[in-house]
Amino acid sequence: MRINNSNSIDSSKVIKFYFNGKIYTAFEGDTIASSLISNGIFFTSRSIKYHRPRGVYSHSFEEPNSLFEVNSDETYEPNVLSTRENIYEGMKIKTINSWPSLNYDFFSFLTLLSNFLKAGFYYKTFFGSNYLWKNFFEPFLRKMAGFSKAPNKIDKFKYSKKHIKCDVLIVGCGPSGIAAALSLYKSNLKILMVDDDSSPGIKLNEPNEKEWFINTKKELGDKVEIYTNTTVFGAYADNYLTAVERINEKNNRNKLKTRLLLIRAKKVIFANGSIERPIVFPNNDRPGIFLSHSSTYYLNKFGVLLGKKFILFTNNDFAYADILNLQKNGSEIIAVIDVRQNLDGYLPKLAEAKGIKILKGFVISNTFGKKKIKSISVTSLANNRSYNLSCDCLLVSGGFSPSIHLHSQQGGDISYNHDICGFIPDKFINHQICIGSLVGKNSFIDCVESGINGGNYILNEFGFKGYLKPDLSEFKAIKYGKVIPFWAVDTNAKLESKSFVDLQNDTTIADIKVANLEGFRNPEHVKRYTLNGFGTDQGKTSGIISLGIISKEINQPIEKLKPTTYRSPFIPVTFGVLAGRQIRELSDPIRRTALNKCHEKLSAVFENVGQWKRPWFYPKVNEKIDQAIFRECLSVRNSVGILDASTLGKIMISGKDSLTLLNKVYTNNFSNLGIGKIKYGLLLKEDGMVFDDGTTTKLSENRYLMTTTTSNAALVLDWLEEWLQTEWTNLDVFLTSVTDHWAVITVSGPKSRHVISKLNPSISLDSEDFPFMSYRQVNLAGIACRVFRISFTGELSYEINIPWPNATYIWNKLLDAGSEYNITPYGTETMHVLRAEKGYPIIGQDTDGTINPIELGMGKLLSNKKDFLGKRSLSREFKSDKYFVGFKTIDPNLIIPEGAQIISLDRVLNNDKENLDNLLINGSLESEGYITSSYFSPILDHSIALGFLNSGKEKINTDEIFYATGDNNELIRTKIVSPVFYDEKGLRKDG
Amino acid sequence: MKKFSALSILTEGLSGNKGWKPHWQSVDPKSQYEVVIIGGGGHGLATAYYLAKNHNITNVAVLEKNWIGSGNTGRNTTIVRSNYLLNESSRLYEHSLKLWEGLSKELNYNVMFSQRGVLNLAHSLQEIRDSKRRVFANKLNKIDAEWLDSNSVKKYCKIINTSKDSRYPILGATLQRRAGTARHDAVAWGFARAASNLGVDICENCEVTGLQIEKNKIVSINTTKGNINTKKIGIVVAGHGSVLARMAGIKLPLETHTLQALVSEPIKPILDCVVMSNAVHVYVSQSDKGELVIGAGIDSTNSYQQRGNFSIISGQMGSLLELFPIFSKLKMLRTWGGIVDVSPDASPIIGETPVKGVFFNGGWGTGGFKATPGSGWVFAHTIANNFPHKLADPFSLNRFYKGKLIDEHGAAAVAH
Repeated sequence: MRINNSNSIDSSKVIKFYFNGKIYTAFEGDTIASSLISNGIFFTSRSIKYHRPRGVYSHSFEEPNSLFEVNSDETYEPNVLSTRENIYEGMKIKTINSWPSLNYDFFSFLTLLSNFLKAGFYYKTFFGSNYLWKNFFEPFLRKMAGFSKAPNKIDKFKYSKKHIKCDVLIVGCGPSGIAAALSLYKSNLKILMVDDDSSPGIKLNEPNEKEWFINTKKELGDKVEIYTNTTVFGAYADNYLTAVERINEKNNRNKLKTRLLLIRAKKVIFANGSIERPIVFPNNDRPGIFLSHSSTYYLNKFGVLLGKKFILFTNNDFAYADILNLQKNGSEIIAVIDVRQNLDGYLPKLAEAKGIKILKGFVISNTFGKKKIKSISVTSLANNRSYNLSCDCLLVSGGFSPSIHLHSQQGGDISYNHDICGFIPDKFINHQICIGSLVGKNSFIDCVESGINGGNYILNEFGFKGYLKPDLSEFKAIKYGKVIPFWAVDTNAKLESKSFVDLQNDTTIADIKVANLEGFRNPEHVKRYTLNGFGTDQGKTSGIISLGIISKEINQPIEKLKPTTYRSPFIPVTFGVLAGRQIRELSDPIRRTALNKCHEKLSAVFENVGQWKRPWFYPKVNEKIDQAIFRECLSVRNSVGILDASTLGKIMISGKDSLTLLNKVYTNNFSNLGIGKIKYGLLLKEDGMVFDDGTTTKLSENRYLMTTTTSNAALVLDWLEEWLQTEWTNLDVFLTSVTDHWAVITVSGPKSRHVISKLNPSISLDSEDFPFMSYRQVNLAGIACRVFRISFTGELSYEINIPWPNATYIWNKLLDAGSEYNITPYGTETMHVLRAEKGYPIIGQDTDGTINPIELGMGKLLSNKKDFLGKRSLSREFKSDKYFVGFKTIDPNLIIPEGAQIISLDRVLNNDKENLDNLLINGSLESEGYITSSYFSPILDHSIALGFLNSGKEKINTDEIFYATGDNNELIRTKIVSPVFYDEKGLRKDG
Repeated sequence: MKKFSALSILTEGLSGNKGWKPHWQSVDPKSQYEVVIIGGGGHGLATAYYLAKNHNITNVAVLEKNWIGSGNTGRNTTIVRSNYLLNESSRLYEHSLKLWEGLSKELNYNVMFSQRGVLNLAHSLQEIRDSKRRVFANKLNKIDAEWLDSNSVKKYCKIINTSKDSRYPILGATLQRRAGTARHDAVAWGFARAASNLGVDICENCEVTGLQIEKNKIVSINTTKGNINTKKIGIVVAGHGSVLARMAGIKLPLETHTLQALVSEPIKPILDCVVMSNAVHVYVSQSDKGELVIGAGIDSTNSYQQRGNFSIISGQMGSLLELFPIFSKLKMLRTWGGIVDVSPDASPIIGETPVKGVFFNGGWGTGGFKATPGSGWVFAHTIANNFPHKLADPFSLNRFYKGKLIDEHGAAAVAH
């Protein structure tokens, strides 16, 4: 029922929405929960396990019951918490977990079977048959579990992230938070305040308190940045806090749904308050039962009354404020059921004075009303006498549990506080303090005082002097009676099965008792066995109650128990906002070379190599991949090809100890490398396995250019830096990544010399003036370039390093110059084929981190004159005899699949040798080796493959036949040859 | 031990559920045991169970500093598979997988082993090579393995995004149909119950504070609940393996890192298999409760804290949404971290140590859960016979001295 006295809603803006297909109206500013209640809808949901009728239970993130599916098109949202989500025009809200309808739900009979569905029942059965488990029981359990349907359409909402640095972050804008800000705001510190609600302070009832709050906020003005509707959900090391901001539908041009705030604060003040907890009693889950404080919230914020005839069940004085507030607004208060016998606080007395009936020393022993609460049974603790009272709304308050989640997420200590019957932060974490009701202050005046003191303390930490001593004399300090620990009403076994501790998971007192009987006594075990506190509310109301019940069961005081671990996030956060804009093409940065447009113009097909996009091959019109590669390969071998090799890692090494570094990391000796000369080297990890390879050129004294493989560029740089920064700190060496300073174009093939000389006829490129493995600084077409005579194809090759911005210019010049030789751009695939014909391994393809240089056939690169990384490991006892070899299939047209395993002839029975499955019938087969690279070689007109074979060195060029596994279980016959298939003498590199 | 069955639920239900007994007896340790297992996680409890069951050694205590299953057993993403590349690994994990297949019956406890199939995605040509190599190797070891092209991947897992336009398109995947998930807590509880039933003492809240070694032999253990004399101990702790070994004067080649994981809010069934991608760091399945269980990447710094950094979690969400764009509106419900001991070759260390009577089983890195029964089986055998089980032999500590590493790193076999 709405009694319109609120300014949080705009009653001029009527909003139509649908609930389970029926149309209703609400006002702008309403939440789903307030909209439903204002329309008199209390029965909104069914519970997950027993399908019992449930309704809205609270007003904020602690809500366990009313989760909905919203809409069904691309704006569909699952598991929408009614108390958090604003209503909007046309919103379609649907109940989950009920079929065929909310009112008549097929599975509601399950509540009758609760005796057989106690905690952990599924661990005790369903395992007789693997088949039935897999095909029947598990699918059925899965179907029954879970809340909403998963979305099946792509999310159209947008999300973003914002990084904020501030001096002080105040979490919570209630009275204590605002008071802390009041102490701080004149200091010029950058202060950020965050509050979960859209209207902080809305629950204040006393006019003078409300006035102070509004005036103080005004005074703070723009000196303090306030984010409302924003929830801090994670607290990480070094005051790094994560929050999610719900963006208002209004004025939202970017269609942003939520925004992630990543906050680094010098100091943090936690003023995030406490959460009201219920008391558990039989049938405490009926629609129309609410947390007491929610009545104030709905009334103050939305002008909505939760009923007409109220009963309050409490163990504390604070809830009396709610009931008095209701009375002031014209509601009928049937009675207050207070578990306490002696009430000496101010508020109960005031209530009595205002004619409210208080049943002292009474508890609720049962409730009635199938789909909405109608009446309750109360019982006197003193004499067990019971009688019934009717009502249409039952409020429950079991006291307040401080919201210690953020403090605890960081491992902060907590202790049990007897005054409030709850856990509070014990020792604050460095550079953080907690204030207000979070540390057990529950009255307005105490909270304000705590806030001001907290603010002053932080001010002092920043070195400011002059404390604020506000005048709080206008607020009268009232006496509050003692809260007594009261978690659940004692009842009989039957009703214990209806006394719900965790409303969301339908965990009852009976479940916790069964768990206890079965030895699950540690709260963490109880949680996992009974699911208590496992729901989307993360046990915000149920956690401490279950602790109270366990404490009683195991006969240990609650202060000896530890609440279950508090984990981030404090509230559920969408994957979408966590990802922000780092989705699709931005999920990982794309790196493109300077020549990317040239490749696109040539219709290149690209391959992902690490983050790079590299041309894989350049198909001509109507050309298939195999045809393109065939053409590209032969062009390089017979004339000239051109390759973009810019992605190769390039590291400038300078400083007087550069050579020392090179000798420490490379297996071979670089001491005798002359200026302008190039050397190939291997890098090993400490375990002696090949990590990367590349060439290093001595550019001048103490200046070297190291190249790495494309995929390992960053890893090698990190690796070298790690050694320099942690072990070899005395070395005078500087490393600079220059990978994208220099574009690299490789011109390769017998005609390459002709092509290059056209760009500068004045230089001599013949092998005597410019020998293999040497480097020249050369002016090409007017651009200063570095030219390296290295070859990865076996052909005469020039690797030209060009300043990145000039790359396209030189590329086009080379294409022009090469046109008479039909210069052919080739991609990575052709590069792979050509190097395989020459037996050059690719680190990361032919090696996998488990290959040492000897196995790779590069034993001669291991210097015995010096130490190098990995050397010691190579001296270990175990020596494998696997060896890098070539495979030549008996049938020249059969290409062995890459990754194929090799089986030895000896082990293959004479029959059945053509099919792997047949061979495996009688047991497993020992692998003798495997294929790492495999291609069809156009120049040899034969398939070729590289890989490793046990005792491979001895098998080369023998007649022994091995079998490689094929894609369809067929076995491919092959002989073992040298990995160098083409130009074994290496004559072609000089053209 | 009260036998669990549909009938026991029925009879107990009819008589008010009063007759249930503790699944295991949590007791204080006695002053002497034949074997003491340090670590009450899945591996430790399985070791104790198989010591009692297979080797008839029942004078055994399991010491757990918190509550059983409180370490990585209760923190992992519960993936069980055996499709490892190398013979040594695949045979050990396959032995384990075979035990998983009968584990619920063996323990009379539903560990909810769910053979829903595991996809290991390939996003690059190199990953295709690595995947196929693994499939062929698995076949030779008679481990079920299939290579699926991207169309078949889409057929097997309908909601996955195989679009060619995605940042790292799915080019294919390996599939092990017998692989799947299990209910991790139930594994610890089930082993504890079965071991307890055979006479093993399970001592919770009992932290080991020192190991007494004399003449290079273990003689006793100091704990927060008194000293225990014993001639054999098995150290089976994750996250603090090197710390415990150090108490015996043994230095192990282990590095410890935080590994995080998270779950979403529960939703109705949407993902019926396990999907793992090494390249984009996503490991996801849906629990029977309906939560998506997602493994995050490892925090690179060394740490003993069971808390990680937020950037790891948020950083991988883009990749997850790239694979499953429809998950965008699901909400992250809980995140947590476990601490993992990683050895130089990313394979576990199982077996004897330089100190007589001290046996070690650890260094499982990010993927120990799947090995739980197999690990317990071979470790119990090793302890009972003072000699490595043949499947455990290659994993002995001396492989680092000898140089015979079992390195799965480069084989694209995701370690989870």
